[in-house]
Amino acid sequence: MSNSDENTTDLDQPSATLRGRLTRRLTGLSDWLNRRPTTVRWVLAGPVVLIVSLISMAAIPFWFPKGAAGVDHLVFPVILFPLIWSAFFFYAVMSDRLLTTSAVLVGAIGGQLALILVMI
Amino acid sequence: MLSLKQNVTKRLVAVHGWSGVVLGLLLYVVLLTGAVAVFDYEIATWSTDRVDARMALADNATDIIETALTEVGVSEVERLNVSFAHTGEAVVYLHGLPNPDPDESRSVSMRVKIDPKTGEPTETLVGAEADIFEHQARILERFLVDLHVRLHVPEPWGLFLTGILGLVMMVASISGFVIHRHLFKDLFVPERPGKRLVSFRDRHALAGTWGLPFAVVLAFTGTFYSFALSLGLPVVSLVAFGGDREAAIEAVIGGGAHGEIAPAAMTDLNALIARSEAAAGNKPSPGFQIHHWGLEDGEITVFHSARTGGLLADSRKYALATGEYLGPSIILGQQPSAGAAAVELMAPLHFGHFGGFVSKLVWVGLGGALSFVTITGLQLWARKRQDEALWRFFDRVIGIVGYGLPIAMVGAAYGFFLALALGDPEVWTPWAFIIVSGVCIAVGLAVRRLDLLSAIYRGSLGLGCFCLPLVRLEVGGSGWVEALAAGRPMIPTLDVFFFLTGLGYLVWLARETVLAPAVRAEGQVAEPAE
Repeated sequence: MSNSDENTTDLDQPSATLRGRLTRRLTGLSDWLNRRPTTVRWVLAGPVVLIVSLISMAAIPFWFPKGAAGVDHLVFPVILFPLIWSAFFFYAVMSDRLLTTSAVLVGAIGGQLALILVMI
Repeated sequence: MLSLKQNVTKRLVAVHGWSGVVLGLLLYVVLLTGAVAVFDYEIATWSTDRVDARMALADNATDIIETALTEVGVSEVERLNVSFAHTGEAVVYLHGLPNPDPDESRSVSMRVKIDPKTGEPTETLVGAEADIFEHQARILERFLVDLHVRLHVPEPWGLFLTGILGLVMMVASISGFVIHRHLFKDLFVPERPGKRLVSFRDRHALAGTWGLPFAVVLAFTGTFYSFALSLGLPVVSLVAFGGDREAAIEAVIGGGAHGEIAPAAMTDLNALIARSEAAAGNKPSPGFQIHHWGLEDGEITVFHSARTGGLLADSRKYALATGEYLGPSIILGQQPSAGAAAVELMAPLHFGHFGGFVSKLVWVGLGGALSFVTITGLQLWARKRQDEALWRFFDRVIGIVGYGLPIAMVGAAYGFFLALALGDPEVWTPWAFIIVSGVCIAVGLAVRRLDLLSAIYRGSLGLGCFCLPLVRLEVGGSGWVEALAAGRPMIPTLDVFFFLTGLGYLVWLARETVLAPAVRAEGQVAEPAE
């Protein structure tokens, strides 16, 4: 038994249990992803990256500076779309950690979607 | 070049290869037609080739406007454009005119053509804005540009398709850069002889290395042009304007004033254009655009190309009632901004027209090199897998498309010229392309020996290019002396280009089919070991 386990008090017990369950779940998810890496990577680099890029293009107008003529926040999302797509695509292809990559991409979708829904 | 883990490199090599294999042939079509379309203006000049002198705007702008307004019967116009047809006529487009049908509330547009010699109107056309643009005289140019922009697939799907091809090109070029092991060495790698696998790799590496930065620039700007209106504007207008596309366009482009505007006398247009031309470095303006002619808030944008050494167009804006200079013409919004500058920068980067003929020539060369990179990449992929029947067939298809496309483009030019004399070029230019493509495909599938097939294709392309200027002259095109005297050096230049290209292919064919076997038979060339 490690020192940290010995020092755990009753008050820490629920959070430790939660952490343990979360760790087990994430490990399970990571194993599931790593058992089928090619399929997962195809899905991530294909439809998921496309959705992330489209949602990024839709969310940028809400936080990008409007600029002197009041058009920058409308124009730059359109200009940047190919670069955003490429950046996420190569991230999805080159990253070795499928769980982290999935989390980043899903987080990017969720976070930006929430921003759009709040601002709209 | 970059230090990567083995499994990452393996994935990138797969991405590089498959991105090309899946859509590589379509990418080749877009790249080659794009390289040709860089010379769209020159092709239009060469193919329509009338050498009538056009009017100088600084001497005739007022007369042109008055003639058009008299012809249409109005004194105020919401929007008005003046440009020149390749036939030398001044073409006035008037938009937002009252509909002649009292039951129809939508405004109409009119096109009035004015003879450069007499100053009289020669043709008046009424219709919707999209229907009145001058098409007849630019059929060959428009056919090639449409093939490049949307592969003749209906909107918006054609733009989606070319946008996806742009992304594929971006993937192929960036992955190509990352997996490149000898970036600088490959700039000077000679092709190893023998048409072996390594020969294809050398060709691909050499052309690809030189074209890498250009490929990224073209892919980025091309994707922007394909997706800007088909995807970007709808998405942005959906979230920022509740789906109101008109409101989004008005916010970005800037809308005109609303409500009643008082009529006003217009300034001397000839003097204003002369002033603009002097300020833009004494360059004759190719045309102008007017908003609210006859009203006190009327404005004119006088178009000018980029100054020598400049990258962006030097168009200028003036108030029509006072003649006051309002500042440079801005593509987006009402005042200069980073967004407008970025959008404006896309055009010179994609079309390469910032440095005149020389920069266009560089763009054509690099575009041609990238087409070559695409084809050699596909060949490399297919030759590595010659054991499988599917890839052997794919190798044949690469040859059919690789040679078939330029042959069909030359065929479209023949169709255009022959139809100029005999029929309707609008119909026969695309039909000639389709018929020649069909013949190329049929020959490609019928001839079993690949070396014989290549020889047939090279011979057809060489002969087609070589004879094209003769056909142009035969159907009434102007001669070189006449064209040079009329200030159109592009006509003999393109004729010479076609002569030399044709000759080059015929010489290559002769060397491959007649000389090379003879030399090989004498045993002077040893077959290199694999």
